[in-house]
Amino acid sequence: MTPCQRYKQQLFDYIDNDIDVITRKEISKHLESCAECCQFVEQIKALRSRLKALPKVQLSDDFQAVLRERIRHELAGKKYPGRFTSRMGWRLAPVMAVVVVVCVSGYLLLNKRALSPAGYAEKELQGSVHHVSENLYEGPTEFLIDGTPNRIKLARSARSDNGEIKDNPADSSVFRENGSRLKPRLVPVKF
Amino acid sequence: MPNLLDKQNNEGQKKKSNVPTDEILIERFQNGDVYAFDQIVHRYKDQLINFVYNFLGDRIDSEDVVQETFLRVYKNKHLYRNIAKFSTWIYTIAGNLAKTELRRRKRRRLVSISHMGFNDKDYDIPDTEITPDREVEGGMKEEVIREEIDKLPVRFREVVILRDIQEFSYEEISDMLKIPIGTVKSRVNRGRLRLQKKLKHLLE
Repeated sequence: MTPCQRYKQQLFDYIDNDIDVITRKEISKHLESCAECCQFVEQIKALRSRLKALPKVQLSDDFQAVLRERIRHELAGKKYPGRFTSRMGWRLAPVMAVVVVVCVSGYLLLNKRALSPAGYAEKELQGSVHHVSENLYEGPTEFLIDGTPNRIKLARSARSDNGEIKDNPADSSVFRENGSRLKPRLVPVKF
Repeated sequence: MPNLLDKQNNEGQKKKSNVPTDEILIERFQNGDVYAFDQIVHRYKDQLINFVYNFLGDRIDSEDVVQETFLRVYKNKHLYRNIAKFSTWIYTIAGNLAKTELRRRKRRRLVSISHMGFNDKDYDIPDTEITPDREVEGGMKEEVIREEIDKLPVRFREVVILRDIQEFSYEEISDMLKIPIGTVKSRVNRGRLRLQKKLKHLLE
């Protein structure tokens, strides 16, 4: 049931009793003759009564005790471990654990060689690591290592026994001339 | 007889003057009277929990918000100036905290949906359509009304709660929300219209 457009706004003012006497009389007169507007007013009045009569919520018994405790914490400059925080903390705990495990495993996988000198030495013995002093086609480069000039070579690719140039398995790794691996803290200088 | 009436009037006035106004209580609290703060809590705790509960629909969260409201009043008592009604001030704080909680929930809901797979049962959206059967079956008219209040956009919800449940005047709501009275009226009416359309069965 929709009210007459002309009176729509005034009907709300009428319900709120926020209207001057003359307009009030005019609306009352209109309501006598318009069933739709009359029903609309009744429905809005009923709605207001329903809203007003909604059951009241009671606070928990320890409300004031908890509040006093929170204020005491606040005055002492400490953060009160609220119910919301602790609930969220417990919910997030497994998620955080999974995230930490994934991050750590990812890091370990990516840095396996760097973190495992034993593994590197083993590969070296098996010949999978090419020493730059042998099959290099790139020239030597001089770098400053910890402030001291060192002569090293870059191993981007290597020449195999039959003369074919292949990607070096130790691609992008930088070695000293004696084959030991350098950490990437290098500053290139002219040579 | 006139003497008796005078006596009764005097007693009534005395009784009235014995009850300090909110503004007097906050002033006392600003001057270091902690007992005045307890009186404020006692006076407002039930009103505020009902206001916030109608806003959030969850008792535990609402209680947390009300706790936080009183804590803010305690910490920021010096910020209250006696140019506005104390009730307007405390309801503004509670309303803002309730809105913050709603935003936080929305974010949480977005995160949890984005983490769900297509096979997750949680992905099913429950049927909340109101049917006359459902109303009669459960006899849960209040619950149905609350559900419909929850579905209102926040801008309509807050004014309907303040006007039709908490029974504040349009002027007070305008002060609380810092919006013109005309806007308050328009929002209240639009909110009522939406509720009237959804709850027709209950209102006839």
